[in-house]
Amino acid sequence: MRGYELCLIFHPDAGEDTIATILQNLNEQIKKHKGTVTNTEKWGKKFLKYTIKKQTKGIYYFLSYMGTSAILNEIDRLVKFNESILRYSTVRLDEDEAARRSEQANRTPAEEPEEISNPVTEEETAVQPKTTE
Amino acid sequence: MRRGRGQKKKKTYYQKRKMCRFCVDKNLQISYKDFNSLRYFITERGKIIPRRISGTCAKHQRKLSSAIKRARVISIMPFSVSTS
Repeated sequence: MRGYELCLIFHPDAGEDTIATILQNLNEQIKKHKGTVTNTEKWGKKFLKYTIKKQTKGIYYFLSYMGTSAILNEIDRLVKFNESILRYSTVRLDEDEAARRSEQANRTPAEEPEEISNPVTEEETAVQPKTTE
Repeated sequence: MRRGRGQKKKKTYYQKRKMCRFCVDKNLQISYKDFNSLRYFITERGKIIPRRISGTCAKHQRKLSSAIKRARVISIMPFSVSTS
């Protein structure tokens, strides 16, 4: 078992549903091959440093997982010809890094998705009182 | 004050020995996802700064260069910056 990190750059116009289904498919495939997803990171829409497929923006997702190299082929197959994905790359993590991430995943499995959604709502509520005063 | 012939004052240049930033601070991590820490090691044009100038040690320069190259692939860093 080795640790890998998959970076996905989605098309800026890709809907949340399509992104969610792709991520779900990936998760399923990883589980199918006896791997475990240790961490998912969402960066959101960011400017690209150079244009990819005539796009200047992209939606970034990072998916780190433990697994065997058979998963890589499977991910290739899923991601390669998908038009809503601009670019993807898989990087092998060092053993220390992979161990750290799997530890983190074991500690807080449910908290991570909440952290992503919280800051947006907090900002909105913080702005409103100022305008009324 | 007169200075005779042949008594030219020699200029001596001292340069402080550059230290590897990653060896000095062990907490600094080289990550291909972190643009802000990598951008100090590329020129305005986007080239990787050689270690004789930046002062990083061989081990960390290797890690740096691979990190920068990875960052280029996922468009976090530019391959080249055109100056018009």
